[in-house]
Amino acid sequence: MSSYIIRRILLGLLTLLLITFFVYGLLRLMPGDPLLVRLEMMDPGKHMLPEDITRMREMYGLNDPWYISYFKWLGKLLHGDLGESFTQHAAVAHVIRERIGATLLLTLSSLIISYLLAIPLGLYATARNGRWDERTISVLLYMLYSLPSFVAALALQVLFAVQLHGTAFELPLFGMTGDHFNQMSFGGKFLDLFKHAVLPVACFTYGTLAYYSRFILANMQEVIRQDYIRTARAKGVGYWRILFHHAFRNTMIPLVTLIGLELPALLSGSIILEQIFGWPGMGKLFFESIRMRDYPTLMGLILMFSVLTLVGQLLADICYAFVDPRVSYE
Amino acid sequence: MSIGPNITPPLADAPAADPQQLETSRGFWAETWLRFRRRKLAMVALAYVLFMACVALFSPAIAGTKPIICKYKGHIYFPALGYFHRSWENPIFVTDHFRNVYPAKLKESDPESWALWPLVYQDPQRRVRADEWPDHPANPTRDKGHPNSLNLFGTTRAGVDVFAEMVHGTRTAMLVGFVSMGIAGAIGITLGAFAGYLGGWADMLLSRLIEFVMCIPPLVLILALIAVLPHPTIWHLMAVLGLTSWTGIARLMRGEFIRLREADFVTAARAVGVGWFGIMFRHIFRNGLAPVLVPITFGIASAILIESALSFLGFGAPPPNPSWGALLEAGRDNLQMWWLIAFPGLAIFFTVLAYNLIGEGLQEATDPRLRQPGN
Repeated sequence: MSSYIIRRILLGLLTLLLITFFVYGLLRLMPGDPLLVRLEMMDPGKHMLPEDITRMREMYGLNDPWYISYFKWLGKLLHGDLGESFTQHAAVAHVIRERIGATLLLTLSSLIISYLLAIPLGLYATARNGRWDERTISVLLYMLYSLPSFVAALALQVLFAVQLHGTAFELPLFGMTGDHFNQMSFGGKFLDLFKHAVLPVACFTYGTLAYYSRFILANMQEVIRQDYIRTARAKGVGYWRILFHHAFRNTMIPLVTLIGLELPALLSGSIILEQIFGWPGMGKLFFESIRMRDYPTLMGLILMFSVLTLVGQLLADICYAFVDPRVSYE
Repeated sequence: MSIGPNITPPLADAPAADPQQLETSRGFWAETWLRFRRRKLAMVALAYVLFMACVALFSPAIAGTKPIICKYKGHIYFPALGYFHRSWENPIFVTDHFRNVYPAKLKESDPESWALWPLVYQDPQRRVRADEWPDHPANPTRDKGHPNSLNLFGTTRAGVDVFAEMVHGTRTAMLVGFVSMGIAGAIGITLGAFAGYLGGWADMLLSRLIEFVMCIPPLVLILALIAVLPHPTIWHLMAVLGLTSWTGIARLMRGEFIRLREADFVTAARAVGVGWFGIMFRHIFRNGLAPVLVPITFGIASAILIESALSFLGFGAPPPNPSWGALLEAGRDNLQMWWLIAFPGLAIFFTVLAYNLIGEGLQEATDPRLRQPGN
C-alpha cells in the first residue's frame, strides 16, 4: 500500500510540474498583459512615462521570456513563496486566504445540506420503487439535475429580489454582507449573512442534491437485487433493517469515493454563481484575475486546484481500498 | 478439438423448421433501437432534439427580415441565406443600397419583383423600425418590450426581437453540441483506441496525457485558450470545447479496446490476416462503440451548457452571433425584464434535459446488464 501511495505521489508531482508549466505558458500567451490592461482602465487624461512603463515591466518580470519567468516562479514556490499579486498589492497566499472563507461558507453548507437530504430521499425512493411518489420524486430530481445553475440563479433573483420586493421574503441580490455590517449585533450579523447566503447556497445545492439522490437510488436498486438481500428477506429480516443495514451499507463505497472527488470543488467554488451573486469567493477571484492578467494569483489558484484534484483522486482510491476489502494495490 | 462435425447443415435443408427459427436474429443496432423506442420520455426527447434541429436549419425562414426567395431585376435570389453566412447574400443587395430593409426597397427598385417572406417579420440582429412592414409599428425599446402579438417573446433594451434572436440562437446551440462533441469524439476515440490496443509504453504515455488534461480545471483551459485567440468566433469556441472534453470518451474507449483485443473474434480476424487498422476500426471499434455513445450524448448537453455559460460571462461568440446565453446576460442587468430570462432559460433547460434523457435512454438500451430475459 505505502509503495503504491509513494508512486502515486511522485507521479502526481510530475503531473503538477507539467500542468503548471503548460498553464503558465498559456497565460503568458494570452494577448494583453497586466500593464496594458491597467493602462486601458486608466484615466485617458493621464499618461504614463515611458521609463515608468519599462520600470514596471521589469518589476513584474514581463521582460523575460515566459519559460524563464516560469522557472523563477517555480524557484520561489520551492521556498514556499507564491509571489505578489499584481493587482491587490499583497502576497498571493494572503489574497487566497482572504477569499477562501467565503467560498467554504457556500460549498460546505451546500455539501452538508445535500448529504442530509440526499440519503433519506434516495432511500425513500428505493423503498417506494415504482409507485407514484417515487416516480414524481425521480422526475423532479431529473429535472433539477438538468437545470443549469445560472438559469436557476437568475430565476431566483427575479423572484426574490424583484417580484417579492418590499415583502418580508425579499432577499438581497448581491454580495455577502449588507451595508453597516460592522455596526450590527452578533444576531444581526448572523441574520444578514444568512439572508445573503440563502440564494447562492440554494443554487449550489440543488444540482448536487439531485445528483447524489439519483446516485444513491441507482446504486440501491442494483444492490437490492443481490442474492444476499433475498437471503436476508427469506430469513425474515424487517424491511427497513434490510434497507439500512444490508443494502445501504454496501452503497457507501461509491458514496465515499464521491466525497474524495468533491474536494477540489469545495475550495474552487463556482465562477458563474459567485459572479452572479457578487460573492467574494475563489471563483470570483479567479475571474477577476483572468480579466486583469494577474499571473501570480492565477498560478496560485491553478496550483491549488490541481493539487486538490490530484489529492482528491488519490484519497478516493485509498478510501476505496479501505472500504472495499476486495480492492488492493499490492 | 474439432467442431466441424457439429455444424448444422444449412437451414434450406430443414423445411420443418418453424418460421421463428428461420428469422435471423436482429443486429445490435436494431436491438438497441427497439429497446430505446420503448422508453417514452427518451423518444419525446429525441423528437424535441429533431424539432430543434429543424428550427435551426430553417431559422431564416421562421424569423427574419430578408426574403426566403425573391425575384429581383429578372433574377431569382435567396437573401435569407445571408443569416447563415454574410457572403451567401448576393452582393447586388449591397450595391443597390438595400441596407437590410427589403420590403420597401424591393418594390422601389423593381416594381416587378416578388418575394416570399419568413413566417415572422423580425430580425435577430437589429430593431425593426416603423412602417418597414405593413401595419407594423417600431419595436418597443428600453424596458417597454413586454411580450405581445408582434414580439412573441418581447424585445431587448435595444428593441431587438427576442423570438427572432432565440430562433437564430438555436443554430448556435445545435452546432456547438454536434461540432464540439464530434471533435471530442474523434480525439477521444482515436487516442483511447491506440492506448487500449497497443498497450505498453503507448498506453502509459497516453494515459498520462489523459490524466494531465483531466487535472486542468476545464474552465481555466477554455478561458485561457479563448483568450489566446485575437478574434474568437463561434467555430473557435466549438474547437476549444472539443479539445477540452475528450478525456472521458478516451478512457472508456481504452477500456473497451483492452477488453476486446483478446476476444475470440479478434483472434479469428487476426488469423485470417486482417491488418491492424482493420482489426482496430472494423472489428473492435464497431463492437465497443455503444458505451461511448452515452458520454458523447451527455457531452453534447454539457457543451451547450458551457457555451451558454461562456456567452453569459461575456466570453462567448462575438455579438453578431445570436446566442441564448447572450440573451440571459442581457437579462441579468435588467432583472425586471423577466422575458429576457424566462424564454432563453427554458430553452437551455429543455435542450440540456432532452440530451440527458436521450443519453440515459441509450445507456439503458445498450447496457447488457439491464437486458431482461425475453427482450
